[in-house]
Amino acid sequence: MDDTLMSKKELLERTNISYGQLYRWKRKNLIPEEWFIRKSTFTGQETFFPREKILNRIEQIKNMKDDLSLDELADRLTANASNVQLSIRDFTERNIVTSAAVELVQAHDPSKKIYSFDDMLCIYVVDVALQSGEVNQNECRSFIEMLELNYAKLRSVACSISLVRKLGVGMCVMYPSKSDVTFDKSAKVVLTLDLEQCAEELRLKLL
Amino acid sequence: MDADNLQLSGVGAATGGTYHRVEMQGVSRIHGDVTCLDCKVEGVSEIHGHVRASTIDVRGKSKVYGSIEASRVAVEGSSLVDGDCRASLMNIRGDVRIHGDVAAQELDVHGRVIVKGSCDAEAFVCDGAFQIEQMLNADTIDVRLARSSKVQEIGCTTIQVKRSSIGRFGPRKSRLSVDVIEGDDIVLEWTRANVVRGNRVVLGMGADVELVEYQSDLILEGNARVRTKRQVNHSGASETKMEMIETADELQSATRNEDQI
Repeated sequence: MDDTLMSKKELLERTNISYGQLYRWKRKNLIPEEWFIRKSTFTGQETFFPREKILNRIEQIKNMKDDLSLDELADRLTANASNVQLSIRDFTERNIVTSAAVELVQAHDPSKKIYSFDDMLCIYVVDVALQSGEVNQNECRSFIEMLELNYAKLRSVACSISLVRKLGVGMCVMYPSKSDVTFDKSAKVVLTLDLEQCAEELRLKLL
Repeated sequence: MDADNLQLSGVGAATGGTYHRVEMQGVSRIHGDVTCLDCKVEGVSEIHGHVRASTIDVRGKSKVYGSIEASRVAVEGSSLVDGDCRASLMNIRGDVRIHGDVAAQELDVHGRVIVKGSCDAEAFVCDGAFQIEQMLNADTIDVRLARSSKVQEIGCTTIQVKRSSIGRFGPRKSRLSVDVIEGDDIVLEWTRANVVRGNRVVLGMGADVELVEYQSDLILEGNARVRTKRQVNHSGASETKMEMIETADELQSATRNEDQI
């Protein structure tokens, strides 16, 4: 994940937006409060933004603001369990994920017809894992189980999920992204996914 | 929903709940959250809980130990909210203290508002004084100072700060103190700021700014003071001209010199 920051000044120059627009979008929650990062520099207090995220977001807003009202746009961009629901057909038709991922999740709970954002995130994570070629279907099942049990946790703290393999046996671990997790030397961390970033990517795809 | 009305008059107390109308007259207290269409308070009241209403009308003194969510809030007197306040329209004639954040479409204050968090509004109008601990983020800001005011940061599209023409509070020493103001169209009088950034900046009487960064215009009037001014071009090429200018007179002679060259 691109961690580099960009200053507010540079942002306005690059994107050619005004202070009025920036603050209006902030009021409407189109730009999350957390992205406004205050740091002390030699010139005093300055505000910075996560570079990739903010540039992408401003691009999205500029593209869509003529078609949608700012409030509708805010709903779409802050997609979460409460406001997005898709039937499984919509999901596959839009080619957001591979059918293999969908089938795997469906097999886990065949009775489910309407998928919430959390469920879609689960499918998306499984899709990324499968496509990486590093994770097999069985191990993906443990991802699905892990996610289904811990959706609530995701809301309070940004988490990452890792698949760790030792002596041919895979294990799934979920932990707060900011924490420093050390695994057994003989264990191999096969794949790590930042769930916050996955959610962001998924939101972009659903727009 | 066929909910009952809650009416308290004289000296009374009640439990919260869901009602059609809530009327509190005299000295009254409600324990628990209140959800209703109209909430009318006359006298001295306390609500120990959150209030969700369509309209809240306070005439007197009210304390809400919780957050408020309403379409319309009108206060004539004084009000304390120990929580956040979210409303479409907030009309204050008196003194309101909010120990949380404020979010409104229109916030119209004739008197004083004190916010311990941040204040978001589309239109912020204040004729009197205000104190906002964190940020004032509003589309249009129209301030007429009667008493000194303070806010950490301002983000806006347009802002105008002047002194109230009605000198109700004796010697007029009212000033607005801000750390940073960023907006598109900025007109300031009687404002002390560290940094002002805008497209078009007009500084008038009593304006005292450490650093101004403007894109198209900087106009200094009266006894406005700027320590450092810098023109910044936001569309592509960044051209920075940094000069130390003390007063409007110096600015005038500086620009006159430029014309001659």
